[in-house]
Amino acid sequence: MGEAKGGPVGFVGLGKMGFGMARALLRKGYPLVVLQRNKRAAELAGQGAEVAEGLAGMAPCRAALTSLPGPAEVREVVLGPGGLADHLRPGSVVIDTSTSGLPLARELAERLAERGILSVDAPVHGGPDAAEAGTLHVLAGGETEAVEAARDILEALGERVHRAGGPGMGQLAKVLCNTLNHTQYVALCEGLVLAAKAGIDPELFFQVLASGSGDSQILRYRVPRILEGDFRPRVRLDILYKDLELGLEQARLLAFPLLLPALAQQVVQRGRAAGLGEMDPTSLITVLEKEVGVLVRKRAHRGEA
Amino acid sequence: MPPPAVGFIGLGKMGAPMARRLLRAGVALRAYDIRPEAIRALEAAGARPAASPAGAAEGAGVVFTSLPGPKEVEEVTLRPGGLAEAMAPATIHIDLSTSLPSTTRKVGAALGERAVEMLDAPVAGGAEGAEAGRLTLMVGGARKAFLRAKPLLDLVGGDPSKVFHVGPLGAGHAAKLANNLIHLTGFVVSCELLVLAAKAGLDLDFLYEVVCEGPWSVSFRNKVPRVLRRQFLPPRSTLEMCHKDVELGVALAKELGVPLTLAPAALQLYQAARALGWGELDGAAVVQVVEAYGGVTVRSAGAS
Repeated sequence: MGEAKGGPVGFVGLGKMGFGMARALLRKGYPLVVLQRNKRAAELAGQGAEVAEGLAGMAPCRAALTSLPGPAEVREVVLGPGGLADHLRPGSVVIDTSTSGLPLARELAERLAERGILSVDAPVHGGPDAAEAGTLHVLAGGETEAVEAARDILEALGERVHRAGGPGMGQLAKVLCNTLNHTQYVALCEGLVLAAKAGIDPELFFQVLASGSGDSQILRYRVPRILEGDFRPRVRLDILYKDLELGLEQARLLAFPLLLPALAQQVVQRGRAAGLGEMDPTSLITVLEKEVGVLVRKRAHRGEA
Repeated sequence: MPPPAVGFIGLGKMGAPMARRLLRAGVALRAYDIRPEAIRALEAAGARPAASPAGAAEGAGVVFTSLPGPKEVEEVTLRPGGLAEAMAPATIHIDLSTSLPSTTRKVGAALGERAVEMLDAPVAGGAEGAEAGRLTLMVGGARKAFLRAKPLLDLVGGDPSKVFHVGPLGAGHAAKLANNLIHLTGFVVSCELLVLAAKAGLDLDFLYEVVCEGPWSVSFRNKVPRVLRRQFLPPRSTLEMCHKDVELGVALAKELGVPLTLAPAALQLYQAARALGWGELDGAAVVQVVEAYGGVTVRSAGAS
């Protein structure tokens, strides 16, 4: 391959994560092209980004990043009619930071290679704050040439850039991490409700868990907000459902049964059925609480003496 | 005030190191176990031997039990000529076992009739934590009894900041069972994802590193290296014990009418591992059940 060394960087998808990443790139001096249809494009224009009317405006870019909800959206933007594949020049690189799964990453790598375009799957760990600060952990998969073409951009996004392997392996690692995390989160919620029903003060139980074998990243990240009754969406419960779907799909492709994640997805589905899809995953606890008549809250939030 | 003389019943994987911690602190201790060799080992560490649970209570202000489960606790305390009959009024029975709150309250009621206090004080942190003095204690019972026993509990656990009074009698056992359900169920999830990763061809040492930087949990961090090195002997905690712990947690939920979705499924995988004859291996060996579904083995690239 080769060519396409210079040029700006395109960014498609300015959600909570995408917006933060785009800002980090701007701050680090990358000339950025964003799409007019993104609600927050004007804000970025004020900080120096170029605003394009459509994906054709990304033709001069050396790299195009995507940060989209899932595989369907990424596929449409990259391979759909008038998609990035139709506009980018040979030697440029598509970097998909979305969590979109291994099968799509492999498909993108193959289809883009037909046009001489490189492809990196680069899903990220870390929330909107880390995106903004450029301190994400990037799980990069792709051919060596592609990862090297994208490396400076990946390093601008993240404080850690892990090389997961060939095309799709970054997505695989990310999907497995998410499936692990979300399933353990549901198991944690079950334990929290059980302890509350047994009469143990939830705040005290949190301290007990954090002091020993029950400690985990997800405990520290979500349970303090559960105790406060803070269900404002940092991410949406819908995303947990989608992430678990990607894990189960990966398992299905390998004819491998994933028992607990399948059950966890059904618990998440109950939350969505109760209208919590747009709420934070912390809200899932309310579904379990209602069944047994307890509240996993600090004393002050339980309305007791 | 010097600590009271204590009795200690149950000198197994957890009991023995906890009893030794008391001895090292200068506490006078009478020890009993159904295995004479366990008593002899503790005699060598300075304990006086007892011929029965009742014998361990002789002259003791506090009697500890560290037994496999509720059945044994009930047997040792409530049988005729057992511990309950031997304890003097105003003494305290502290049950360090992992047990069921309903059993604990039954035993506590019987002891209460003789004016003996009871605390349930199950521990988390494993045999290593017991040796190193890094145990978490979840204590249930009357606050007054808790405060009286606190100096001894601090000695047993090793870290006073990890000794929690979580509520009335039985609350300690409930907290411990819920804690166990969370990490033992969580570990089965870890196993499922490791096997899927192996099947999909991901580098497992890489996955371990990435999870430890991201969605880590203590059980993943501590147990997965054993899995990757295929190190199931000697057991840190046997699969048999892990199964029992999850079973008790599910039993507690049943008593309280709390529906659980994931934990009973995890229980069945531990059950399958026992059926396959792996009960005396480390609990991490539950991964072998999942590996059988996947037809792959989870091991580090460097492991033989």
